[in-house]
Amino acid sequence: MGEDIESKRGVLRRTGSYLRSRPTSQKVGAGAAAALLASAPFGGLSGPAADGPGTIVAGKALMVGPYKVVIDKVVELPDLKPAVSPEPSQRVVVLDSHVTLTGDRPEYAVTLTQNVKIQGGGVKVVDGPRLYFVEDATQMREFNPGLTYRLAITFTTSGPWQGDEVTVKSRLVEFREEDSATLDPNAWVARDEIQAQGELPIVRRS
Amino acid sequence: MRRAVASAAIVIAAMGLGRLITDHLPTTETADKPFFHDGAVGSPVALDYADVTVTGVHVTPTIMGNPASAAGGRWLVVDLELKARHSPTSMAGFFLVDANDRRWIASSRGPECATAANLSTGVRHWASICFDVPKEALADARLMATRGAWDSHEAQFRRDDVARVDLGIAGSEVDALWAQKDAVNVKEAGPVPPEEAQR
Repeated sequence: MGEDIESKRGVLRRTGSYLRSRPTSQKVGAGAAAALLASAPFGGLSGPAADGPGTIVAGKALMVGPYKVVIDKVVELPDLKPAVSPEPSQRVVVLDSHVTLTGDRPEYAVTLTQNVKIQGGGVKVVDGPRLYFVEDATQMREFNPGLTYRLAITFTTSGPWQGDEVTVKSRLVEFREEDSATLDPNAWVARDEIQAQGELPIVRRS
Repeated sequence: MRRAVASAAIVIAAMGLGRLITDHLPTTETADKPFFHDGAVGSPVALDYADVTVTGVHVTPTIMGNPASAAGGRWLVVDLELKARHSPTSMAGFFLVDANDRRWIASSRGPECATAANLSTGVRHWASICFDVPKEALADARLMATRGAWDSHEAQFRRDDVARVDLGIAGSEVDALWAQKDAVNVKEAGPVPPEEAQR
């Protein structure tokens, strides 16, 4: 037993003198590696944090909570009758899109409409977005899963859009199995964080 | 000393018993569950607050109107006759449950499609509920009718009466129903019988 302790002490002594004899650069490197290893339980070895919002591109799928949205093009019109009839001074900006509710349960449209917006053009959005099924111009308020609709996502603006591009943004919408804020389990919850944004060209039609 | 130990043991035992009860007895489930009343097409289902009768079931790609309403999948249109039993009642919960226990909600897009009904006591009320659904929703679909609207927590009709009506769609009938092209004429909801109602 006594010999055991003595031999362990010898090993430690030899290790200590070996480390002391190393150059400073190696000591610093070893110290950094040890610190990184020690921080592993707190995320020290995890990958880098996601940097900034994703990019919205025409024709590419974008997830807004449970909704898969593909914006095909952005169009500005004086109106979109019979669905949208704004004042003569106003305009309608339409995200011509295909929208699919993924997952296995229904959702109401607000989960999508509250989390997509447009910016720029030197105008204000005075109404919208609203969702209209292109095939019959009826407003979509409810979605069942597994069906894809070509939708006009409409924004009524205070006047004509200035410039050739529209900034489209979507907020991060997360599924929470438990939400301490609302006590509602299994809910889609919007975060105050931009998940994706992009500059899309605007097409003007009269 | 002995008394203190006994008290501590009783407290610990009580906590353990509480944990056992909350872990193993479905208290939340039983407290939240609605009361289902089963029925079939053509037979009234008596709920505590209303009688619910499914009088017709249609599958179509188009609901007549100006403009006509197109389905993303197919419209499953359920014709209903409702009657409040004891007091004026609002019913806002109409949804489908399919063979795999998935939910499908009613659409407000069809021109005369109802998503809710305000019932006067003892007065018959007719309404058609329209569901835009994919093919897999049709087989063994059951209509659920209750007072609270459907939400993802199904919290609006906890411990309430729910009519669960088998719409009589067998799996073998789905292909033929899906292939139907005839448009359906949905009548205005209200106390006027469908044969006299507008549209």
